[in-house]
Amino acid sequence: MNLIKMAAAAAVALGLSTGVALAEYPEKPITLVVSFAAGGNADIGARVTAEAVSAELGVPINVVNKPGGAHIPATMSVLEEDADGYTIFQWSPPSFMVVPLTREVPYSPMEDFIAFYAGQAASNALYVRADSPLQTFEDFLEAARSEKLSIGVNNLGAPPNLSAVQLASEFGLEFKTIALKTVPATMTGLIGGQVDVGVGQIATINAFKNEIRPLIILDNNRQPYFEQHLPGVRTIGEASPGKEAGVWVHGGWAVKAGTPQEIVDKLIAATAVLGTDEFISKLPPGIDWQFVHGTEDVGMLLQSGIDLYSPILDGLGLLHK
Amino acid sequence: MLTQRLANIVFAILVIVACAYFAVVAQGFEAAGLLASSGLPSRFFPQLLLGFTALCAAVVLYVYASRGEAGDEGQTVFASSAEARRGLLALAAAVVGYVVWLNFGYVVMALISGPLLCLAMGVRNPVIYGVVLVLAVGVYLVFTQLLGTQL
Amino acid sequence: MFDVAAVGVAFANLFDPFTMILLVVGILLGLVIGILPGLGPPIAIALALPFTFYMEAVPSLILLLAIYNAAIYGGSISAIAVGIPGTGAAIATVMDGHAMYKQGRGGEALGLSLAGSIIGGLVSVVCLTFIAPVLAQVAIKFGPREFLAISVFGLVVVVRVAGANLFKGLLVGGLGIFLTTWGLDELNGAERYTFGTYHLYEGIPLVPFLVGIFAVSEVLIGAEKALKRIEFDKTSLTVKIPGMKTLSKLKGNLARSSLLGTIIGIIPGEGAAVGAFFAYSEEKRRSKEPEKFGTGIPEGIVAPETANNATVGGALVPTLTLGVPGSPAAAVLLGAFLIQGLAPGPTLFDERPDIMYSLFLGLFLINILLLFIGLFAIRFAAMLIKVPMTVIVPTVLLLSFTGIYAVSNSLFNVGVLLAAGVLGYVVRKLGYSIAPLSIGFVLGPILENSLRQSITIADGSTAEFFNTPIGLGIYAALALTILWGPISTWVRSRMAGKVEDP
Repeated sequence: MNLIKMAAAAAVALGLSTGVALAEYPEKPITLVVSFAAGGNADIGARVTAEAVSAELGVPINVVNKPGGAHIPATMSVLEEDADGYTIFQWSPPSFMVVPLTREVPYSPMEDFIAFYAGQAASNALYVRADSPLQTFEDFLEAARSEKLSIGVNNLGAPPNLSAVQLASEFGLEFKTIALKTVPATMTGLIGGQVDVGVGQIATINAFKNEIRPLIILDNNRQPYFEQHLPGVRTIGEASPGKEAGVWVHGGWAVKAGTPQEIVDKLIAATAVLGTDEFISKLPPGIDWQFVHGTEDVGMLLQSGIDLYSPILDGLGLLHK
Repeated sequence: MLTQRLANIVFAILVIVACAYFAVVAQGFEAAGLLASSGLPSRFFPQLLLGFTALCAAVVLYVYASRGEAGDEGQTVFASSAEARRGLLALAAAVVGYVVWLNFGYVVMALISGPLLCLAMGVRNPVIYGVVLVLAVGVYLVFTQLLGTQL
Repeated sequence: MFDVAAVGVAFANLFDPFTMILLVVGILLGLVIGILPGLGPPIAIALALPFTFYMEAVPSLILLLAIYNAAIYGGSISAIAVGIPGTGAAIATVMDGHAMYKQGRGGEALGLSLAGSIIGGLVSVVCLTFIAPVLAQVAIKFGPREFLAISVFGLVVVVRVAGANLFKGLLVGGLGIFLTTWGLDELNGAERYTFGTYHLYEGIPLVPFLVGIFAVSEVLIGAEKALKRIEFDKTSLTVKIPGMKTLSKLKGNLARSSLLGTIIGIIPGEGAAVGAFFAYSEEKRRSKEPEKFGTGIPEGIVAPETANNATVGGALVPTLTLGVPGSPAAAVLLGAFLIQGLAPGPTLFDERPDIMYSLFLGLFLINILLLFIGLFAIRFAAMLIKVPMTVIVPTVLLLSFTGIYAVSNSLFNVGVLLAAGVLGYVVRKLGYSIAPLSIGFVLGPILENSLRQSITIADGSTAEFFNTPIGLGIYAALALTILWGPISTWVRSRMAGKVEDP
């Protein structure tokens, strides 16, 4: 396996030097830029996807993690490269949605990129340790009103943080927010007792079955995977009618605007493998998926996120105008 | 020759001035959004460190200025003027190499930075120039052919 | 405690022919880089980093660990043969090693350093294998307050050993931490010292900064001395491995230095150089004839060489269990883990025990093979030591430039490398040690984030801030290390006084 991988890389690299002038795309390794730290859900999802697409295209896809800096350095690093399809960006809610909506950024997701695929999807849920005295969402509300609970999120400005902020503003609560870098790290922190409650994703339960317990789903827009992973758990709207809760968590691939249409078409064709049953069976249990292919449909998906988050952020006084 | 005493006095003063400058800049830090209640403002930690560093620099300055026990009395920064010239010219050659890379690309940088450094070090033996260039080609080939780095 | 299935997978992973080849290649590369003057483990690992891009996790980590171990040992060869420490870790070895060499006992010196390195390395691997899984269990309880305690501990210890001048050490340590505050404030998004460029949003990148501080500054210093002819007599480069008799005479020294090295390694931020220095001064302090140190005695070679290789296993303990680098070299190694999509921390033990065991077994094997390859490589050392500085300087500079660019695809990072090199050069010329600078830079972000999050958790209550049994334990250990010197001196003086009392 190792040897084959190495040999493939070497062969591709050598192929370059033989001077084939206008060879077929792709003729050399592709770089996939991920704006999250290694080991988190976004990273794991990106790596699984890269492996599957790499087999389709016949060249290695190297995942490069460029975390931090409000996702701006990672996003900009893609725009610094040529629009030749050899640098792909793993877009996510912060880089394509929350950060551009809340602060001035040197790029426009819709104009500077061609987003052609969306795969990872998620909704958030509020978790406690399995042995926590908080049995129900109502217990939690009571506790949160009497003292300032510490809440773990992955990164400030990421969807779990926004869910926490929305929860706080809807119910008039105050939290001590602790950022723990990734969703699995947030759950580890929760289990280790560093935070009282933690915001994770619906499927997060699968990786920590015996150690954490869901209290409530932080999304009123029920999806099929809610019942699959968290059967019987209510959403905010079901527990407290009239209270708002919504998230938009999607992740996928984009290339720099200006990339030739043939290359985008090839990439779209290669990502078709991602919807197959064989691929889905290989996916880690901690991640949910909702596949969208093609530039038009992905564009509509992105617009739906902007439509969801703009009023929420505006209400919190965070929308960048 | 530049003595350790003089050089350290100048360095300590520069550090204090730089600390003051950065501390002033830090006054202007603004939180982007109130997504979390943060216990300390953004400027606290850098300013704390700047104060600490400046304090240490002040002690170092005092020790050198008062001719106290600094441990390197009478020593010079460079052992000889020839060493100073080689070190500083090598530094300049490295910077020139980087600027060349920015403007003319990797290959030009790789070709000229080696000989430039050799010149800076005062190398007269042509064999050394040859060996350095051969090694530069080797580095280029290893990265482009074996690793697929685009240079 | 040990997962048998995972150990099986680990064996299979390790004995893959490709991995074995990389292990040997890593040892050879590490030796070469270690022997070349000034190039130490962090640089060796950083230069090899781009080569791991296309590899699986186990082979790439084995490659880097082999380089790490061998580079530390390689440094002692040039320290003994020419009196120039090949790495910072070998500075303490120069005194006795080179003195012995000049007396025509070079082979004996090289044999002692090889034996010490292997023994230190093996002891620390055993410690790592048993401590790391246990610590991983405890590590899950580590929150901001515990991380704060551990980074304070690391910083205080390094400043105490950072050369003669305390305030100079503190100054560059503070500078190193300050530089980590650049970039977007992770906790509230404020822009700090970004100077209008998004390149600085993520702050000053770690690997280019460390490689600049170590390698580029070394290159510039090397350029100054470039034309000096290196004189040495290669006839005494025939290794004499010490016999059982010699080793058993030194067994106390070996045991103490191994453990001391491992412990220094575990302390976040402290690396091989500090371990070697500590062990040397400890053996000198304990010796009945301390005046003999520096004249070419076996004890003076065995202590630092055993301890510096022992720091490898130790440094991996916090790196693997907490994700806090145990040494500057381990900080670069952490980058390699992240490239592989592995996030070191308590969960890594649960999720990928096979990788952990591969590393433990791999380290064991690396140390065994280092013995044989080391014996063989010393013959070639003569050739390497003769490579003129005028060739090393341009080539290493080009390698650092290219390597940093290959890892990050960013010319901005090459600029950081150069700027850090200039900074390192200036402070070194002025008699500052770069150890606190690099360690401050490694631990700075952990320090700030954990401090601020601790304050958030405490919410204004001092009692809550210190409501951390693990953290208090670490603070107590810190107090003990600071007070240990004075206490033991006091106890000794009392004891001595009693003996002398009529």
